[in-house]
Parts: sequence; structure tokens; C-alpha cells
Amino acid sequence: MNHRYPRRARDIRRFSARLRSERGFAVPTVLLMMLAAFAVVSVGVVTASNTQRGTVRDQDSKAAVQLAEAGVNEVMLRYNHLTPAVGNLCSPLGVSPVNGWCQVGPVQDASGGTYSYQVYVGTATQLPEDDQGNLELRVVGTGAMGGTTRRVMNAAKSFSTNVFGDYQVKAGEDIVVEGDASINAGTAAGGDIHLNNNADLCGPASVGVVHNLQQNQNAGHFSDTDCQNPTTDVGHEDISLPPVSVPLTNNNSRLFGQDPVSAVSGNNARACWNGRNADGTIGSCGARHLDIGNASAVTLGGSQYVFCKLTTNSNSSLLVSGGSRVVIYFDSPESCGYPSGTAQLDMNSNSRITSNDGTPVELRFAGSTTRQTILHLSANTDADAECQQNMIVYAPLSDVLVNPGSTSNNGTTYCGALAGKTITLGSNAHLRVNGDYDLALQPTIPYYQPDEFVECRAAPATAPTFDAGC
Amino acid sequence: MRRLALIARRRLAAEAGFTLTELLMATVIGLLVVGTGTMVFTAAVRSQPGQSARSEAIRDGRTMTERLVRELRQGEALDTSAGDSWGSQSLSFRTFVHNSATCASTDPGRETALCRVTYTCTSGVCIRAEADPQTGTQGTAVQVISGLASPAVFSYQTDPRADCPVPTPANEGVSISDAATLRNSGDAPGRVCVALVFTS
Repeated sequence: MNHRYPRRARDIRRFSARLRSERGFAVPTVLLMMLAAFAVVSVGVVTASNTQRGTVRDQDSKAAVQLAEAGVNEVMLRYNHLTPAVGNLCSPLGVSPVNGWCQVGPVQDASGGTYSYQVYVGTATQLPEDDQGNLELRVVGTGAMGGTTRRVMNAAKSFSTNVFGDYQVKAGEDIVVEGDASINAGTAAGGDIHLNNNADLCGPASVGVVHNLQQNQNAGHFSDTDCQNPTTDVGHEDISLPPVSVPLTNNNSRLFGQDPVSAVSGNNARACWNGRNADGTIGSCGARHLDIGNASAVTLGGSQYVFCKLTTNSNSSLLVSGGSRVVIYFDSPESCGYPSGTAQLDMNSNSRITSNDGTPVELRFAGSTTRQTILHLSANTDADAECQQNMIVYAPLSDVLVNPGSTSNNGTTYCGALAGKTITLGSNAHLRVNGDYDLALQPTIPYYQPDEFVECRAAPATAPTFDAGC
Repeated sequence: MRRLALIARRRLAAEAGFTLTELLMATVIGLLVVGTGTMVFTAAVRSQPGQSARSEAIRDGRTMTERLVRELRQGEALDTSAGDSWGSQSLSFRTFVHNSATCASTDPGRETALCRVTYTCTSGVCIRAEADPQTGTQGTAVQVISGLASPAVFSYQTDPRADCPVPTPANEGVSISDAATLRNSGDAPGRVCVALVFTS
């Protein structure tokens, strides 16, 4: 403490001496120049900062909209794969309804923002419907990034019964029509359509966006299913094939009790279901595998079955009692324990799947996005004869192969509607539409798709009107 | 006080003064500094109106772009049979509009109503007009942007994955561009690109 004052006095004297010794303008000039430079830089920084602030807000605004839409997409993903439990229509989201709304969030996103969403399920025991009877989920998504909040509302609806309304042959990817094969139906592919030598495509056609209808030598494309009017018109649109949800209930237990087996041409009833033959002996088929032996017929009397595999050997038949439509679901290869590349439907020569009165039989395949599943269709029926196969095959994740024939009269003739991941028609195979019957898929577990998108006021709403401001 | 005054007088008396060389150098440096400052100031004052106009244009452009992109996001698929039209200088489409004075919502509980919105750009100016697609009632056209170097603002793409054209502003010009996919266009989503290029 005693040394502080002498030191300060010494510092003051030294500073005064330095000031006295300064004879030019170096210091003031440099100070002024630094001040001027600082002012110029400050103006630039402020301007850049303002511009940057606007840019950041624009980015946050877009990110917030994306987060809000992420919430909406999450809702549809869950409701398209999980059936609401009885008594809790919010069960696919893992919550319970409050005033008719399911509420989730806010959820932290990896981008640094948050999102939350609310779904209106109503107060009844069933999900609400729109004016046309389509199930409707009203979803409000809210996204927040930085200081910016955005809300969107999307009315998601289930249109799953109208898959074949516009085109009767559909593939999510490519359709290949080999030489001398033909399609007499509206045909749409999410990828390309390839018509090889002498192949005919008779009916309206559509390919995916930026894809093409590729015609080889002498291949024909006609606007009508009678192959009378050549055309070059091809639509371009993406194909939406909703996935198949396998029901929990079925009539599998009817096989072979109430569903009879008969020999149609002298052979014994050689049919196998679930590891056991129709005569009660142990068979070679696996779990939920229906294997119909040569010249045998199985008649289904129920309305809904869930198989893993169906094999129809030569001259065998799978028959359906007339008057009602039968739906056969095929479980995913993961659920059935099948490796990639398994044929879940294998129809051999002269085998048939048909109903007594011509009503189409529905075959729906759950398939898998990670394991390939294949469908082999083969009939060797007369191309000019009446349709002997009356089926609706819906396999959005499976590769469909319609087997070839050696001549135009012994290729597979398939009647009905067909949808697959890819479709390949072998040489001399033919696909036709049977216009006498309703090709719409029967109501099943709903598949929701976005239908009406609006942005709402950013201010978050509260129960019971989460969709206020939309 | 008296002591301080004495010290100051003594210091002034002790000041030996500046040499002529110092004064000349100081004068030259001072003139250079003042001259440079004056030039910078004059240039800043001269460019101020242009900077302000440009800043205002960017602000208005941002506002218009954000509003337009938001309307496009909520838009229906462009369809000539429904009365839609599109070109580089105009765009007429159906979208949802909040609290519209022209278009009435069919659902009393909703703030948004389906509306036909038409943007028309000519001579550096864009105007926006609403119309009720059900009744045909026309709203008042309102100018939303001015000072554009080019009236070519819109481009429609059937493939939403394709790149938007990049605007090329003239020397020192400013451009704002954005794009939005029409969310209510079902299986055939199209995209509209927006590019505002301002005069330099």
C-alpha cells in the first residue's frame, strides 16, 4: 500500500514526458484513421448483419414448414401400418384421445428444431368420414426452428378401394411385354413400359415421370382394348400402390374341414395345408402353405384367408363358391420365415384359380421392401377361349412373372386386374380385363394419403380446436 | 487552482513549437485524410438513394416471394380445364387463401378458402388478384412488386425434381428466386419456380 502512490506518480511523469516529447501528428493521425476505418467497417458489419438476419429467418421458416410436415407424415406412417385399437383411436400414436384429439410432442429433431402434431379422431367409436364416405384424418403439424414457428394442416384420406379405377394393370416400376405377348387393358407403370417384337399394348397407357414407352420392331400401341386404333399418346404420372395390411382374423381353420377337397380327374385328393395332407397324413408343405396336387381341386367357402404360399400343380384348381368375393392375403416373407427370392404364388400348367360364377378372387400380397417375393402365373389356356383365370392380384412389393408359352395359343391368358412392383409378360402371354365384374378392391385396412394441405396461422392453437387458424 | 494555472503557463512557455517541415507534412497528411473522407462521404451520399431502393426492393421481393411460395405450397394441380393458366409473365391457379374478402370458405369453421389467385407481371410491375372459383366474383387487383428488370417471373415444371432456371441479373443487379411444389396436386405434383430480377 505504501508503494502505490510513488509508482503512480512515476507513471504520470513518464506519460507527461512522452506527451511532451511528441512533436508530430503521428498519433492523432493514426487514431483518426483508425476511427474512420472502424466507422466504415461498422457500417458494413451492420448491413451484412441485417441481411444475414433476413436470410436466417427465411431458412428457419422453411425448416419449420418441413418439420411441421414431418409430423404429418409420421402420423400417416403410423396409421397406415397400425390398426387403431378398439376403444382408443389414438393407439397407433401411443397416446389416448382428449376431446377427440390425439396429441404428440413437441419432439426434438436432429436438425435442432422441434415438431409436434395433433390428430382429430372424433369422439365416436369410428374414425370420421368425409362426404364421399372416405375415412379422414385431420392432422395439424407444428414445426419450430430458431424463433420461427409454422403450422400446417393436412386432411389425409383413405382411397384404397379405387386402385384399379383408372388402369387395370399397374406396376410401381417397369412393365416388360415380351415378344408376341399382349395386354388388353389400361396399363400404367411408375417406370418404363417395354414392348418387344410383335408385342401389343391395347388400351390407355401411362409411364412414370421422365420415363418412356419403348417399342421394339413391329410392336403396337393402341388406344382401345380391341387393338383397332393405333396411338402414340402416353400419359406421365407417378404410380401410388398402397401397401397391403394383413388382417388378424381369417377363415384358415376351415381348411380342410368345411372347405372340401376333391379329385377332378381320377387322382386322389392330394392337397396339403399347414404341414398336413387332406387325408390327415403328414404332408410336405410348410406353415400356412396350401399346395394343391395334380388334378385336385380345393373349394373355399370362407371369405378371408391368410396364406404364406399357394402352389397349384398341373391341372389343379382353387375354386371359390359363387355369390361372394374371397380375399386371400399372403403374409410378408419375414412373417413366414422365407428368404429373399421366394415364390409365394406358383401356378403350374393348366391350373386355375377361379370362382363358380366368375366373380374375381382377390389375392393380396404384403411383400417386403427388403426381401424379394415373386409371383409365377401360368395357365396355358387357349388364348381365344373364355377367361379361365378371374383374379385380382395386388402385390405392390412383389415381382410378377406371367409365364410364356411356345405358341400364341398356349401362352398364359390372365383375366382380371394385376398390380405388382414389376410385371413381366413372357412370350405369347396375354392379359385381359374382364369388364363384367367389379375390379375394385374390397374394403380393407385403410391406407391414408395426403389430400388437402393448408398452412395455418403460426400462433399455436389449443384444445379442443387445434385446427383453428387453418 | 492557482498552482495548476501556473503549471499550464509554464508548459505552454516551454513548448518549442512546430518546425516548418512538420507543419507542411501535417498539412499534406491532413488534406489527404480530409479529401479521402470527403470523397467517401460524397460517394456514400450519392449511392444512398440507390442503396435504399435496392434494400426496399429486396424487402418487397422477399415478402412477395414468401407469400407466393406459401400460396403455391397450398396450390391445386395446374389444369387448363379448371381455368388455370401459366406462362413466364402470368400465373393463375387455385389455392387456399386466409381470410379472403373475395372467396368464401365452404366450411364455416375454416379460415382458409379455395380461391383463384392470378399474378400478372408487365413493365417491371406485378399485380395480384383474387377470384372466387365457384361464383366468379373478382377481387381488386393489388400491386405487389415493382422495379423488376424482367417480367419473366414464373416457370412451371411437371417434374418436381428438376432444377429451377437460375436468374442472371445485370451488373450489380439483385435477384431473388424460390420454388414450391403444389402440395394439393395428388399423384402428379408439379412445381412452380419464381425468379425476381431487379434493375441495377
